[in-house]
Amino acid sequence: MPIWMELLVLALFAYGVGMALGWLVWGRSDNEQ
Amino acid sequence: MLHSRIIAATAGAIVIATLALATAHATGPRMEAELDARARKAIAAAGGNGITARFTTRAGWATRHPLMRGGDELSDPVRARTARMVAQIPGVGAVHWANSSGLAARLEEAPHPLHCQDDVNALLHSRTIRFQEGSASIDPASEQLVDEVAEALRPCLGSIIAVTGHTDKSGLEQSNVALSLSRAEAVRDGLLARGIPADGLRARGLGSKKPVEGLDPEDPANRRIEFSVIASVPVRPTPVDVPGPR
Repeated sequence: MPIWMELLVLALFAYGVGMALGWLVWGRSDNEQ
Repeated sequence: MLHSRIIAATAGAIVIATLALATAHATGPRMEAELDARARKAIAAAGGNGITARFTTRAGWATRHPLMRGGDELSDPVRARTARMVAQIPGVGAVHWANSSGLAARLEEAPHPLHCQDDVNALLHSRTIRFQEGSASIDPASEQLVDEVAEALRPCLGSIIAVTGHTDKSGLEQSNVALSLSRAEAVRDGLLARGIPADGLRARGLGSKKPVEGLDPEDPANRRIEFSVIASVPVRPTPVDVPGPR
């Protein structure tokens, strides 16, 4: 597997986790307003 | 509202992906050159003359999973050792051989009994660990032999040491198994008391199921304790391919 693919998968995974955490912490209360 | 969020998230993902690709593009060649230099050193140190490790994929991209080839005239253990040396370089992932096959894994050196096994067998060749009649307590006269066995096993700490008890065929098999097990456990406890760690020791009792080859199962000489030392194989986080048959 080329290194760019490893970096891409890792970066997108981290982005996804960050987005999910952000939605869990702030997103839901945002929707209620 | 939802629509704009999806667009924002997608745009973010594209930015992240672009950043990842740009980073890979900027650092890939340097990583490849560095791994290549270290691999050359490792190959030279392992004596793998003629073996090359290529840190580029077939499409020419930098990768941390090298493809090994060459060194066809070298023996398989040397090639396998070279691959392991390359795999130990920090940052290197899985190592593959250009000419490997599904058979390769089976050719890897099988875990073999260490020399301690021979030392212990030599000790027990002429003498046996004796027990008091019908009981599992070691005869005081045999304590010294247990001392010597523990001393012989010491260089193999980290391996699995199996202590197996056997009996002759007289009496009930059920009680024979129980007696052989408690005798094996007595020896294990004796080894524990002499500083052999518990996590490497296994005690089991086989009763009269495995008499000494060539002996009558009823023969009292079948009452014995056997030791087998099995080298433990370290767990590897990434696979290291070994060369296949040529």
